[in-house]
Amino acid sequence: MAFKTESEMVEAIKRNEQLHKLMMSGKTLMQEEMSGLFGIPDLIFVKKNSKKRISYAYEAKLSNWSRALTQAFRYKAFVNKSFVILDHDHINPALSNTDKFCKANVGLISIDDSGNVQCYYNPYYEAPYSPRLENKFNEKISSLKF
Amino acid sequence: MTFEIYHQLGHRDKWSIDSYQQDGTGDGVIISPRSRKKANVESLSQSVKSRAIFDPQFFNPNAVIKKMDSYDFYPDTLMPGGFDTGRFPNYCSIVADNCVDFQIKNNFRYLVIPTRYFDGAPDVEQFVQNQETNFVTPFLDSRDHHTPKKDAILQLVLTGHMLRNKPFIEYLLTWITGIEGIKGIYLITEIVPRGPQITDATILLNLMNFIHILHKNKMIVVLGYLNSESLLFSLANPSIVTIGSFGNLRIFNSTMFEETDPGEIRVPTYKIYSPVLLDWIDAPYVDLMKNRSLVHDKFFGDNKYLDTMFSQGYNGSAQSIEPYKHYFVEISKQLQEIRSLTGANRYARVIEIIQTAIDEYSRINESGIEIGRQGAFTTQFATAANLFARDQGWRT
Repeated sequence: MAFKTESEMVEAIKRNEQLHKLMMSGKTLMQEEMSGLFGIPDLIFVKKNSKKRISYAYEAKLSNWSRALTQAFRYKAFVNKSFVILDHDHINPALSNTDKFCKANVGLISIDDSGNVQCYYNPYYEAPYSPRLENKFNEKISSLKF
Repeated sequence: MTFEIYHQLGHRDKWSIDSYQQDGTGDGVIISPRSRKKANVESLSQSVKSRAIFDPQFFNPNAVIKKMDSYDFYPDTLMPGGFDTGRFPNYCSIVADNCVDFQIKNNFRYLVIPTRYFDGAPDVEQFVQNQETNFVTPFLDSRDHHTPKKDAILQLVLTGHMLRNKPFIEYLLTWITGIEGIKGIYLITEIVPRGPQITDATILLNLMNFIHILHKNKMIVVLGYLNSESLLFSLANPSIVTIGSFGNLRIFNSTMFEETDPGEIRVPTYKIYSPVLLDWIDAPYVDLMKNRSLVHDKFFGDNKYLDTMFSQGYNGSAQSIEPYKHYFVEISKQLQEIRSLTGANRYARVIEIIQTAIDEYSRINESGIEIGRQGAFTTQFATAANLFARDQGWRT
């Protein structure tokens, strides 16, 4: 069954265990709709352990992979890994274009309303491409608690 | 035929006036009463006013927005109980007299006969009748009682529906070219939905043909609210093209003249105009393009404002002055180069500029920078330019 709304989908993503397994283990910080940067990601996670800290951005969309890809690419200005999460019922058009996700190094995931997650492309770690926005992002999360 | 470059004024219009006067980025300005009080228009220097066009902005007669309440000619202010379509014919002469008086006293370059905004594609006969009764006749009558006599230009707002409707456009052209006492048209288009540039080749071509027919009829054609379409439309021989700072001065939006709650104002990241890409690029992408060696010498032009933006520690925002002054310098350089050419030579240069943009967007896409639909307008520009050139006999 497809999700009815994006907010329903975001709620499912927030509590999804499988999704957390795709991220580095460690302390977690989560923030919804962080604004004032470059676009507004639906979800931000920052994972921290004794060795490393990695930031993740997620753009959830019921459909329209192309728009989601453009948005997720923006978030790479300030996070290390950015993902598009689509409703599993509408994943096929995106799967025909996985080369675009690979080229842009943006992750592609689908989720269904039972919480099943599939990852089709897991991007490699990159430094954010805008040092100015990276600093701004760091300032924003420094006031939040893990 | 050459053309002039005017600044479309609005919010923070001092930036545009300074740019025009100090950086030589234009030949005049179009004044917006929405953004400048009557007293501050009157106090502009005569050298600015004599080259200026005053846009009365009657688009929405039901509302008097922002600084417009400092003027005495808006129907909603002037009519007891506010504007009412049925009663307006009783007041249109007073409205016209006050508006003409203001324009003549300030010695602006032309007398602008304003227009009301109509959505979609109304019945063309009713549309013309309304303009004629409420604006053209009273304004021309009033002009006859004023000295000095100024050339009158008629404002028109055309929607995408109108521009796609051939009989509508033909009827309009017949009407316009037959009005005695009108020297030209101040043309504004509202295409909905749209991105920063008009991306519909049919609309672009129809607009170019519309401009060209007016030119052939020896009419002045002023094109308001333009983005880099100005480069394309130059092929049709307009008299004046406009450049504007903020997006709402490059894309006409009739809702700007409605009384609405602006809601939460988001301050986006700043953008930098690229004369190669013919569009404004979000600053974070500029960082990335530089890192991936996509930015060559000409990519963002060359001026002191760009030097500031590219200097270490520059902390600009969408409210900073540099991106806009940079844009004025670079777009006016392009337009000044193009206006020195005519006919087939102008077309050859314009299509070369568009083709370069197409190639550069391909390079960006191939590098993995995902900028979405940005750049999609370039192929539409090329199509419209080529079809127009074929009709002119500039290409086979």
